[in-house]
Amino acid sequence: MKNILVGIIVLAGSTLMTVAFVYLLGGSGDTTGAVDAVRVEDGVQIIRVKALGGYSPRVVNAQAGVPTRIEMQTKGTYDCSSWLVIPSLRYQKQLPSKGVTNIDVPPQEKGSTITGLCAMGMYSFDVIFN
Amino acid sequence: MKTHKFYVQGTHCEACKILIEDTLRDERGVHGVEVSLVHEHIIVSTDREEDAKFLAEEWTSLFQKHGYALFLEKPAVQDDSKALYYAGPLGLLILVLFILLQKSGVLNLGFDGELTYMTALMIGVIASLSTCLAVVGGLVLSLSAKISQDVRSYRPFVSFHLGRLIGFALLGGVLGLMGGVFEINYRITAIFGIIVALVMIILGLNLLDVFRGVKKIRTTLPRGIFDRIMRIERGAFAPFIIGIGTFFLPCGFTQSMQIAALASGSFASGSLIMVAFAFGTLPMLSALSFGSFRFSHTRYAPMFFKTAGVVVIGLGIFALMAGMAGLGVIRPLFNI
Repeated sequence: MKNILVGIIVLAGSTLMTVAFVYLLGGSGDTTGAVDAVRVEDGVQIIRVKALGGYSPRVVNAQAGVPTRIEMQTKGTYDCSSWLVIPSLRYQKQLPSKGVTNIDVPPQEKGSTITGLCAMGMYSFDVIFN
Repeated sequence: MKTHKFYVQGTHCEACKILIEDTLRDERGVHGVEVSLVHEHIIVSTDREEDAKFLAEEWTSLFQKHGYALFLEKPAVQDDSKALYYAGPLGLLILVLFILLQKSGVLNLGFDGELTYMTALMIGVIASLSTCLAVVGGLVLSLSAKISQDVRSYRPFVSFHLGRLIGFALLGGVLGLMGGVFEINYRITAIFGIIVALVMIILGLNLLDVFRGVKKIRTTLPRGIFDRIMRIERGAFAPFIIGIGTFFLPCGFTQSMQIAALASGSFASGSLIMVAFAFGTLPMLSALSFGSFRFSHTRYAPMFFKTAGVVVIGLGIFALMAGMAGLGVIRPLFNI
């Protein structure tokens, strides 16, 4: 009887943990600040992404077919997010710990996505072109 | 000539097998010794006339300082399987708490202003609590737990930490002398990360000890490798080298510090930046390694090993996914 009880508790505990796990790691695609992140200056679409303990916003909706610049902003950043890799642009750079780094992106096709990652792959952000 | 079969507990590795075989072979009247790691028994052929019970007691005393004991009957393994009941949820709980810590944003500190040695120290502290822990800490935990199963002294752990501090000081100094900039290709980092992740997962499965298959694979590995591991366990040199090697483990924070050391312009300043950073990580890494050692010599050892196994496998999977995302093989799954 006692064993069954322990078994049930353990099973319930494990299930709960696993659910918490999936919920925590899954990420809901945080788009906070996504609207403010995009602005247009002299016909160039400028996307500002902050890199500190990850990237924010995580998902940016941008316009397809126009010249684009991504501004990576660091604020005393020493974690992995300072080591930026954008595979589709063959771009990799150790961002300075403080300041803004510009990345020029040629006009992108509608529906394409650019993904930026830190070199160890634990942080990422997506720019979706529509 | 008689042949006796004894059961033995605590034989985890090829090194234990060699130790037991060598020790017994030197005993009076012993002609042959065969240790089976898979079945956890020893077959001894001897011309001694005493009964098995007497011999078991006599020979157990030989291994007292190593912690092995010979039994006539197969010892119950009930304790071990029960430990997994608790270790599973406990390990998952630790992982959830770890992720919550990352999600809380507490660790996302910006370090404005010039990089001083004090900031490097603080960055080290933060790094040791962050996702760097997923790789460096996970590896330290798994190696420590694994080694703790076999060693009886603090010595390997002390030399590991000494190696790490001295290695960071020397290599940081070299970076300061070199100066300039160089960029390590991110693919190399990602591949390195994947290798470390796989090592963690294998060690984690080993700690869990539930998959007999893994144990069989291990026992069929070439003997030479285990001779070398045995030296790691007994000696101080190998842990020292591994400590130095942690300089190259993939970790975003370490990389930032190395870039700063490169830019520092002199041996002394590069060295100080790296050693300050390493000192910052010392409390957490010491807690992991010395904690493993302490726990593994208490009666909570089975539970500790299994919990550590669950945690290490979790961190290993995380590091594996991250590494593959870094290579562009899969979409980034996690975003802590």
